[in-house]
Amino acid sequence: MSTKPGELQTDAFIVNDCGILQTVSTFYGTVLDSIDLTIPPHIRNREIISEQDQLNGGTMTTGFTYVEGSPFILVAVSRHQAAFKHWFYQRADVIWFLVASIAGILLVGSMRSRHIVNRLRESDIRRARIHHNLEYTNKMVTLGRLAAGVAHEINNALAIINEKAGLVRDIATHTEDFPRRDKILGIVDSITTSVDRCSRVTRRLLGFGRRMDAQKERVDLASLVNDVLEFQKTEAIYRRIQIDIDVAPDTQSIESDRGQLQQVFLNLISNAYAAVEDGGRIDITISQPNSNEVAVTISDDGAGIPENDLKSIFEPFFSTKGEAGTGLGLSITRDLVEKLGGLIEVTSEVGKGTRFTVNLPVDKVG
Amino acid sequence: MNGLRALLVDDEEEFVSTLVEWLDYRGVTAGYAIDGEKALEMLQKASYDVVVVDLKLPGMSGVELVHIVRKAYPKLPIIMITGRGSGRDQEYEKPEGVYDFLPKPIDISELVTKMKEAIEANEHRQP
Repeated sequence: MSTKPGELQTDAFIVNDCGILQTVSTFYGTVLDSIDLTIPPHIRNREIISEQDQLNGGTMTTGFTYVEGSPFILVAVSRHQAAFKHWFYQRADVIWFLVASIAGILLVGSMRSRHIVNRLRESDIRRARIHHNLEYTNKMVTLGRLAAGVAHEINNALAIINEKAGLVRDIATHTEDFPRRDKILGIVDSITTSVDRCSRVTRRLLGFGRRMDAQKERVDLASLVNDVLEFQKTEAIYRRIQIDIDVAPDTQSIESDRGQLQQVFLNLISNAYAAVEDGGRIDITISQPNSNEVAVTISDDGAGIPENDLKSIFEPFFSTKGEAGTGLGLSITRDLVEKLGGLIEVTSEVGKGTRFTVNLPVDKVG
Repeated sequence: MNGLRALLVDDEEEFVSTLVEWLDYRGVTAGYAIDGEKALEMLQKASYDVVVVDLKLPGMSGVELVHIVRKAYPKLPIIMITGRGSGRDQEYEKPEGVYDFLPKPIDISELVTKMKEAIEANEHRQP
């Protein structure tokens, strides 16, 4: 019997309860043949309809009913051929393959592009950092030279004022019956005191500017930190910030780059100034934990830094100052400290303050 | 050691002329030159006990002048002065034969003391 796909085929026949055909069946053969259908047990007085999938993909529905008073069972079978099952399977395979391929391409593509974007971002940050570092150093050197130039000019004028005043003092002292000698000497003293004050400032400026170029020398960290503090003394006085500096006895001088160290401590001390309230406190200690390194700590009693921010504090472009900061100060500071063979660490507690510790080698590395 | 004769070399005339006048009150007879060439001329014409040279001079630098003076007048003590911050800073290496570096503004008493020390040290060195 030929069947077309999608066609419904039916068959009805009678079997006895042993599965032996009593009538001719289209599907299962002729009378007395045994059929390969499983006769459900205990079907007496009941109609049973079973439905099962066939191997070829279609479904077969079989109904059994007992003919009362006889051992015969009337069986009706209908088979529904799966029309486009084969094509459905193939289409599903193709769709599945397509979806998997697209997903794969998207996944690989997005991972790859994320990787490339990350690399680009990192290199951009690195470049910007180097650029800013360079710009910052250049700016400091230029500023230092400018300051030194101005200081030199002022110093020359001061030298003349100083001499004229000194000469007046000598003339007044050595001339007999010099009129109002005491008054003149008082004025001259006042002039020379002011000259001394000015020349201390110009010397500090000259020292600062010149040291921007220096590369390697013995540096006494206590006097270097004091120099940096001198520059910010006025702010401390106006804001009533108490600064204590404690230098452990016998702390060695270190071999390092003075200009770069000045930048490091200028940055850290400026940050401490920014962190404390008016009337706050900054503690600086300089000690030598072992024979190879000197440690400088700068502690403030400011607002402190939340733990989350603390992790990013040395990252370039990270700033808690909003528009006021470039986010590069501490990143540059860390770069400088590391370049000098040192290490910088930070601890902070919100509400209590922040402490930066800079460890520097006694002998310059590299 | 009165009657000390000193030659001051500094291009800032206002500074150096006042210094000459001031030194006069401290018993030092001084002359001055505003550049290295003039200083060498003056050294040829008259004798001095000590020379004070500014580090920064127009034309011939202070250090160059010191080298020439050292060769031509090996017994003449030299003191250098500088307007560039503390002259005692190690960054400025003292040229050979210079007794000391003094920063501007000059402390006159210190300058006179240094002059006397330099002359004395030179006499001990070259008996």
